[in-house]
Amino acid sequence: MAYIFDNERPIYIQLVEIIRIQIVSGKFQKGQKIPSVRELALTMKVNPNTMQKALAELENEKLIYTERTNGKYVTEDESLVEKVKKELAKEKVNNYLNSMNDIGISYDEAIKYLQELGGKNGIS
Amino acid sequence: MLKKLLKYDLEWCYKPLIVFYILAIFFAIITRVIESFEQTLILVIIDKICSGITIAMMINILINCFMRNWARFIKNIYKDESYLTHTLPVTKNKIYLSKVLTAIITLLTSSIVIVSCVAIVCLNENSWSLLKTSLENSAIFLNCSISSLIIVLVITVFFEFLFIIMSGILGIIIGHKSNNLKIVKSIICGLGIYMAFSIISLLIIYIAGLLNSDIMSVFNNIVVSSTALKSIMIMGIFIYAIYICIVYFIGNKLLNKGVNVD
Amino acid sequence: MELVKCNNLCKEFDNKQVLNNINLSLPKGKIIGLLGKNGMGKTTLIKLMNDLLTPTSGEVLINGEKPSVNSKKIISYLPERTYLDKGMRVSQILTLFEDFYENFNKEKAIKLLNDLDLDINSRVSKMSKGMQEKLQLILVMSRDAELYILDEPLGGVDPATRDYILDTILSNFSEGASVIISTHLISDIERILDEVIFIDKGNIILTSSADELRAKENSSIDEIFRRCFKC
Repeated sequence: MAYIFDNERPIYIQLVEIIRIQIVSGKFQKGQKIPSVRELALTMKVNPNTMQKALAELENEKLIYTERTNGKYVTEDESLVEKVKKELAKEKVNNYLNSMNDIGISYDEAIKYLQELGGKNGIS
Repeated sequence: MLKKLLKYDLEWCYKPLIVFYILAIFFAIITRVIESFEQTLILVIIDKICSGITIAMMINILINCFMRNWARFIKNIYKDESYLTHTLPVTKNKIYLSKVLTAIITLLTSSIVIVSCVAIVCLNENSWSLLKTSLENSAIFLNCSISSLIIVLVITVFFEFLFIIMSGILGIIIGHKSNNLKIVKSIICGLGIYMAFSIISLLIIYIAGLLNSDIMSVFNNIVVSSTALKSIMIMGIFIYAIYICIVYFIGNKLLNKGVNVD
Repeated sequence: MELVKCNNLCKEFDNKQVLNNINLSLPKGKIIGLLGKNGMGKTTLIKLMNDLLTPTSGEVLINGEKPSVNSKKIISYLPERTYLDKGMRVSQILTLFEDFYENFNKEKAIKLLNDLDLDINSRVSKMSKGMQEKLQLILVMSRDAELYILDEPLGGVDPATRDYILDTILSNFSEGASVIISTHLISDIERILDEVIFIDKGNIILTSSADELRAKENSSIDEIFRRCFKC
């Protein structure tokens, strides 16, 4: 799958965001082995060095860990994944509320929109 | 690596040459066969056409042998293909040597084919005895054996042709050192080198003549003594051999200084 | 040791300065973009690295050595023109590469050519220009080189082919190798670059890590390049 990158921001940060979402959404299962840097870079069509940097960043966040010779694995720390998920959720909600605010829609109204449209789109 | 280079150089040069070889020998044989029949008008006409084609093919072989070698050199060392040639992990010495060896080999086979064609067309008892007596006469005149006479003649002609090809190649190398009018400059340089060396040969013979009155007779007499001719021919071979070496080493040196391709 | 190093490198043609005192060192294991408008010296610099030009002064060192048989063994170079003998068949060219380059992987080349549905018995002269370019790219990327030098690999091709070319480069360069890509089409290529070098009128204007530059200037390399060279 090819991703469209925003050339205005460092590519590795964008990669971190993409993989972080894959982890919290369960696309990468907890404790699952993740493909090699080169493979990942190929599937996302980026430079392996950039991918390496992104994985290093994720490792810093403890979302993945390296098992000496076997490669990299997704963390098994459920509470950490939950925490990251919450942070992401907060960020998204904030973004939503901010953009609603920008078009002059108050907090209460914004909630209403959510309930109305969320139901219609089948998202509960 | 030299072998591999040689393989590709020879392949390229022989591609059209082989066709001409086959055609030349084919028409030479046809001519010979037709001549062996009783002559009618139509056969005479066909005979003339075939022998004409044979001669054209022989000239063609010689010219193509020269041009093919030069064309290969320019294309391979200075044109688009040079991007590959110069990025192969091979030294420039070997690249150059391969080109020179190709020239020698193609020239050798071309000469053999041309001589064979002449032999196929002309060789019968009459012409053979004629050739033999004239060779014998020359041999007696020069006071040497027939075989050594033939060897000397063949070597001289071969060296002369090889020297022409080598001068052309050196001309190309010098011509392509400048940034414009490369082909024109190559031709002028090639011709210039050939002529300069020819003049030097004359000078050498003249200087030899100053030391040896026998040789001097070439310059001031119509009748030339046999010893003079003999020494001049031997000298000629040595001079050509030295020239070919000089031209080879200069070319090698210049090429090794690096190229500037467009 | 640096993979490529230029020391006070100058190149003149007919007293016209094409490269002006270039000092540059390129590391191993990076994808490097050599970015500049046409005619600013990119190709000249690349040709100097490949022994196709001789410097007027200064030097280029590959692994600490002037261009030589050793450097040619480890550099896989894609020029902007077709350098193949048009009279040859693809299979003959594969043999030629196999004959001369120890690190040429023929099976890989054949596989990549098959992916393109290219018949290896066809002659180069019978192929379209675009196909010839793809063939050359495949030949170059099928070598296990330490340095790939690609001169304008995206010039004059349609966007779909651009994707094909970028994919081929990314998926085939050997691990730990460096890739130098010269181009003036920056937006297409910038996502895969580690380092960028801006070259203008024979001078190196800027060298930087791509992501650092993006973070610092808060815009794309393409945008920064345009700003730098506004006419």
